[in-house]
Amino acid sequence: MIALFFRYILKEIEHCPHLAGIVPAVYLIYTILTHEVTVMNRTTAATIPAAPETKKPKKTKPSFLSRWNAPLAGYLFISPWLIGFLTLTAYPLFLSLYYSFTDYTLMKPMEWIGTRNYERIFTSDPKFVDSVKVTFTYVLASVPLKLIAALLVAMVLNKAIKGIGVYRTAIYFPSLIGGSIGVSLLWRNIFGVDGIFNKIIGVFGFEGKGWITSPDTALGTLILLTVWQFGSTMVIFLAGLKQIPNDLYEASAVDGANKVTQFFKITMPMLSPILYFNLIMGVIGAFQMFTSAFVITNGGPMNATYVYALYLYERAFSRYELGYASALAWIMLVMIVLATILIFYTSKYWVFYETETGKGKRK
Amino acid sequence: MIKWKRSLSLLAATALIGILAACGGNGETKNSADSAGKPANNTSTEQQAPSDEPVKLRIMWWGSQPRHEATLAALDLYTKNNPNITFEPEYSGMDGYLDKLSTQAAAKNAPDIVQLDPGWIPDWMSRGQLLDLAPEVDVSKFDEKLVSAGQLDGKQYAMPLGSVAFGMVYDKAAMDKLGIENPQNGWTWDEFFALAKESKSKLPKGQYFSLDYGGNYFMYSAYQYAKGKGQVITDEGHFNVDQATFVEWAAQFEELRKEGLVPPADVNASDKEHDPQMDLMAAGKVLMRYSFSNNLGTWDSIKPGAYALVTMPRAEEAGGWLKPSMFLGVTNNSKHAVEAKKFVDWFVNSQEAGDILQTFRGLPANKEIATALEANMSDLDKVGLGLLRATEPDGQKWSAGAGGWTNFIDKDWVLVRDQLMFGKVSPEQAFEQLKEASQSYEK
Repeated sequence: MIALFFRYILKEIEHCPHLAGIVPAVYLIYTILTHEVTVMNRTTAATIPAAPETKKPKKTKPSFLSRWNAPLAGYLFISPWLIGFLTLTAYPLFLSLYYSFTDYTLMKPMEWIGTRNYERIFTSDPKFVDSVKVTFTYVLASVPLKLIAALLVAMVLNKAIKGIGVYRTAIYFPSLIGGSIGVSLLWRNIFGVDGIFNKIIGVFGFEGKGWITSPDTALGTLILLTVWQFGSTMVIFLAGLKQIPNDLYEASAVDGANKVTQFFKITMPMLSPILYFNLIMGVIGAFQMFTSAFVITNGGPMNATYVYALYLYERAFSRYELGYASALAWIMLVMIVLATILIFYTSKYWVFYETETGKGKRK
Repeated sequence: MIKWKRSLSLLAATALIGILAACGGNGETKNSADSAGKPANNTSTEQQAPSDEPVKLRIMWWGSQPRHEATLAALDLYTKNNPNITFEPEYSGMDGYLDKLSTQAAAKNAPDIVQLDPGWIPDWMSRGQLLDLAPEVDVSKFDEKLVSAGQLDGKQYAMPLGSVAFGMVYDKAAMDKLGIENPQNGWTWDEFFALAKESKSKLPKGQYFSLDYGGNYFMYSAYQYAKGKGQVITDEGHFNVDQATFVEWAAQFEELRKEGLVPPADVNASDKEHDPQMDLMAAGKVLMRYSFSNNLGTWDSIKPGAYALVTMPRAEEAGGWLKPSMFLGVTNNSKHAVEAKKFVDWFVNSQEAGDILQTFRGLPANKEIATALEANMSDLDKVGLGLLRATEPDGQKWSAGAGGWTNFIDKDWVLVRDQLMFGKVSPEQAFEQLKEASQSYEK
């Protein structure tokens, strides 16, 4: 089953090279964790009957070493990624944690100020509150919409139509270019006062407005842009749909199930692990939303699109308060972790795994 | 089941790590050693490279197309004179320029030579991000008033490139066609608002008198000056918005907004200065907006012959002022500081550079070059010069202002401006908000 899942991922990566970095990470953490579990089991098993305290260090040491010896070749294989991870990700990561407890700016020597940055953020920073609100609105609106759009399109593209490859490519295309500055500029022209959208609705007698420049609709246009980039989510859904055995549909058809029933009783449960994965990835991505808010609206009008990452950016690069911005970054991390844990926790109620069949857990 | 769950949690955990690289990536300029930053210390030691060694200088500026072309031509000429020096130019419009530059500077990767707005100079100097330009750059031919804005503690950190007047530009062609009287130099704010109301019956639907300046920082500054209430933010770094004056100003624009003499908020917010399509005056939607004297050429290139300049309206005092248009400085992370400074000297002091650069950055601050240029100026430049001369006699004294307020003007003030424009706050509330936001910037 895991192998299967990796096949989805690899398929996805074929289309989406910027995700390539994830694969070795998955392998690495997986090896380390599974290993840790076995090692832990082994040491506890070994130490519990062994009473004399002098023996303890001796026993831990070899087992610690053996834990590292065995997969050494493996670590060597992934070393190109590992080195990159340690120097380009882990090191800056922990440096920023350190900075978040300092008053680091470009103006004067850095000083350790303890948790003062965090105190200021939580007690006297109205912009923090505003940007969190905007970000949550964005996440709550864009993620479900994107998932629904992706799933619908995936189901349509799952049909055996002539030239389906062309359609799939065409529909996937926006995801390749969607995050770019160029599309952001295009968006500004489409939904601007004199944009093409207003011209189209003008034909039907509606009076348009500056969708991007009105505080009520600005965030909506950005959400629409995000939803439009459903391609990679859709590809994963598509791969998932292809894995659902046809027998299930045939059998249910014999039992008299119609399409709607089939969707809710077969497609959705069988697809729920994929949905789960897409949901988590979507939420994480949405929290970090930056480009379109920066390029299209620059946080305005009236801070309607002032997302968290934009605020962080402003603190770091307009005001050079890099310590404060690092603290903001870590708060964002904690928010994302909490959101992810929440999804993890609820998953047991709605995610269905085929391997669980027969254990009485089937819905 | 466990395996499945674990692999998924791992995926998510990995993704989390991935994002940290992105969002945690802001603070990692590992340069605490020199961030303390007394400028200019590292100039003498490293940069004694032999003068014929190939050197590539990065230079960054903002501007419109004519300025880009002139600047590129000047760079070419410099390379022709000094074959070992080549350039890597980065140029763009004003939009996003400071963001880009600040980001590069935070990463210690700013270009060697940068064009800076006078308003940013105090911050940049006090942060130690610029190098002392002595002894390579000669400042003897410059107007003392202009050159002093680039000085701190007796050292010259940035050179003024030109001098411009702050006034207004109006669509003369459209006003004549609609039968609206042209404003005259020396007009007053009362006349401005009266003319706006007079034009109401003559303006067709979708056309407005001026942009909505009810929450505009620069225009309000001009108004407060004209009313004799001084600087909006004092040189000492204090918030000095006069409550009565601000409320009066915002209320007058509120009225114009209600009467449809300034564009509705969503239209007004879509304005992008100098953009052929999105500039509301260029698009024929408004008749008037503020302008610096050197910008006429840009509008003229969009619609030749249509526009004219007029002084900023006045009241008890003049509303407009002369100011250095922009500065050129050498950043503290330049690896070729000597070459960069030599180039700056050539750029501001040589007649051959002056001939190419013309007045695209305002009337050159170098007096000799300015005099030489005035002799054979184009008609368009003469109009700009006219505004300059009309503003000069009693214009307000320009000041670079106190350091540390750039973000207040760029972000906090802009938020209040939007709220006023969209009618979410009253002028009184807007004032209170500005005052409150200013607290965290007070010295």
